[in-house]
Amino acid sequence: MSAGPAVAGSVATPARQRAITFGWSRPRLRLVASPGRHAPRVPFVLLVIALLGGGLLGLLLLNTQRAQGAFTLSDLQRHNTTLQDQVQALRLQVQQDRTPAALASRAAALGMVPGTAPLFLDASGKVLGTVPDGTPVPDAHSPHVGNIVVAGTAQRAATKPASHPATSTAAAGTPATASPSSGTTTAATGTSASGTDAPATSTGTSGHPVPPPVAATTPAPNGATP
Amino acid sequence: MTRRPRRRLARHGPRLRAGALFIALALTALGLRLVWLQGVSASSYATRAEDQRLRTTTISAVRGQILDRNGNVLAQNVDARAIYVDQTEVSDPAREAQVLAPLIGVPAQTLQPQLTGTKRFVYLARNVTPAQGRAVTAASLGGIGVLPESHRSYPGGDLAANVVGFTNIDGKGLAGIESSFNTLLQGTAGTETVEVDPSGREIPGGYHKETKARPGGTVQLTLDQDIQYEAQRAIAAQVAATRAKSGTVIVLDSKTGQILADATAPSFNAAEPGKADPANTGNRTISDYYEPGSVNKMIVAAAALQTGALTPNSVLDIPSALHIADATFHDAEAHGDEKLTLTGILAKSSNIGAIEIAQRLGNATVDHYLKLFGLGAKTGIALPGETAGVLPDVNTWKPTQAATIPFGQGMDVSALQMVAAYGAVANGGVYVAPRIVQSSAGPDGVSKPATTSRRVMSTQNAALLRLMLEQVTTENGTAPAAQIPGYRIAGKTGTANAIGPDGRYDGHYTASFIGMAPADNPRLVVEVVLDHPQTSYYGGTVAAPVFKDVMSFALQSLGIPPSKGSPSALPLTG
Repeated sequence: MSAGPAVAGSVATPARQRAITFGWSRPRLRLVASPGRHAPRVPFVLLVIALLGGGLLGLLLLNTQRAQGAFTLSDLQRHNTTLQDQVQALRLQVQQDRTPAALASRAAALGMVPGTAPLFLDASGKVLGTVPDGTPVPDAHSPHVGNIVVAGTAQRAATKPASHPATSTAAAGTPATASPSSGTTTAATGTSASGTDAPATSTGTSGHPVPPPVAATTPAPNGATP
Repeated sequence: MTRRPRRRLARHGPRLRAGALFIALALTALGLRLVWLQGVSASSYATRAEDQRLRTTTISAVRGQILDRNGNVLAQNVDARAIYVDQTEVSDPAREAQVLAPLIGVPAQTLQPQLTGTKRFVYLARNVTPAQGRAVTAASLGGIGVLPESHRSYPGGDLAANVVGFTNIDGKGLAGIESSFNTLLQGTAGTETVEVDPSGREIPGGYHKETKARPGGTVQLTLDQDIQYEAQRAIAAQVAATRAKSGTVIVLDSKTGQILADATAPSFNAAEPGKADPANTGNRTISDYYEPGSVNKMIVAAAALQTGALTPNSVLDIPSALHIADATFHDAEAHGDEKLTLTGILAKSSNIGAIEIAQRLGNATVDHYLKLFGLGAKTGIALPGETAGVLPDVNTWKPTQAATIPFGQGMDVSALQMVAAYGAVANGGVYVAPRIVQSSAGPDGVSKPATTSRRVMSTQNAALLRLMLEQVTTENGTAPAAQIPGYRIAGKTGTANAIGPDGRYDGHYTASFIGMAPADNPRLVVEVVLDHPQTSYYGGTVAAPVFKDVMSFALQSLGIPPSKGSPSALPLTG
């Protein structure tokens, strides 16, 4: 039974010691904590203000940029529309100008007249077609020129001068007022034509009057036509 | 002590019960209403709400183009603007009219009354250019607005107008290719659905659904715009010169069956179909039929050659007159009894000769060859309103009819049928159904109409027949005016009594000429028909010169070389 109080006493002692220790350590905790609490507050507030301000400024800049972009966009769109309208207007103009009726009236205004039947040269140098006698010359300024169309392969046109018999035959139907540039054909029958007399492989006319449909393309020198 | 509260309760009991009942009833009503709104008629309210929030607009599809064989535009859609006015917003009509007049090209005197009034919407101008529209917007006049619209444009005006046709203000094809290819040309309209606020502005980030419009397809014709122009010019000039009621020209590429020109006069301006006489907006070459006259003799001669009944030099006795049933038949020029070869019958266009050939062949053979050459049936061309002509049933032919049909009276054809029949002779005896559409490009890709052809006579007989038809254009034939220097021309004249509006011959004529060149290797067939010419009625006199002009131009235009050598002369008389 004597152990009972002793035990009880030994139990009471640590409790008392704890109480003492607690009372002693309290002021030390208070001293450490106080400087730590005040120091970070200012930079933190500044940081937040800076972040908010920065965000606001960024937003403002972005909005300005976007508004600026929208203005540029609508400007460019308007410009684009204007250009599209211009393209359409010009395209319409071209289409209108290239209708046969428009070409015919403009050619007539220039004093041109419809062409007579073209002459054809076949591979052997023979002239096909006839030159109407007394080819009309409507106006001294608009010499009327018979057309020559080459049947067969046209080659070496550049090396063949106007002395080619076929060309001179054509020139017979050409009025004297015709200037050389409008009265001669540049295509000659090819010496390499190897007997082909396939019809109408190319048209080589110059000064071809109105209306325009015969392709007035001059065969390229040394260029073999199909 | 417990009585007092009990007594108080008893006193307030009825009021509470009444209140509770009222609340219960009110809640029940609300509940029923809720079920009604959310259950029974929920979908209709949801739809109405959606209708208020969502706005659907139609995006119209751009109508496709119509091109000629070389890609030249015959019809297309262009952006345009419409100018309108809200009259209630106009404060000073006189001043606004002055400002607006030069911008849209309408006189101020016309504009001012249109600006005055209380109407909320009046069109001031339509189909003005976008540049004009911008100028009007820039002028910022009160009450004046600009609307975008699409406008059908025909750059060539009356060029091929009778083939191309026209559309109404809503862009629906009413005639020609515009009508027969309307579905392909118009495309498919799209829709755009957006969520809007009560004042009609689109809510950003709201519901947005767009179905894109599919633009219309392109139709490319076989027409050559230059030859078409020349054909229209020539026939219009001749219709005016001969004071004819109308005239038509067809240029056919005999090897392919493609129509290079299809002209009719008088024509109309496709840009203003409303101002045109409806009689001129159709296509006479396809929808009008007429008695062909002597051009029909070619088919009888072809039948005679092909059946072996006659050769070009077979001689027939041609009396001055022929009595069949109660009718007497003469030739156009009076003559005594003479002997003509089969060639001579064609060259001199003897009616009696044609009757005699038909008598040797029999009605059934004549009918068979007429049908073989495509008469009495539609050619199937891709244009609206084609006629099949009138070829009476062979079993119903009266003796006089059996006599007149060989020289092309008592039956009707369209100009297109006849040119196709001659195309068969030009093409070595193979009939090719004529075509006017080269290709059509739609959402399902490019489609080209199939060529249908059939042999109607042997190549040798076709060549013989061409040689015979060449005698028509000699000085001894009926159409020396059709000659083209350098080219051998085979053809046939037609001078037919025309039926008047009352269904009887009215003393007028249909004059025609159909010819092919170069006759030794034909490429082109040109047909000219003049209805009711007043100055002269012979096909060789009024139609052949037009043939010469158009054929010369087409030969030049296509670079077709002249014939080599001259035709061998066949005897015309026996």
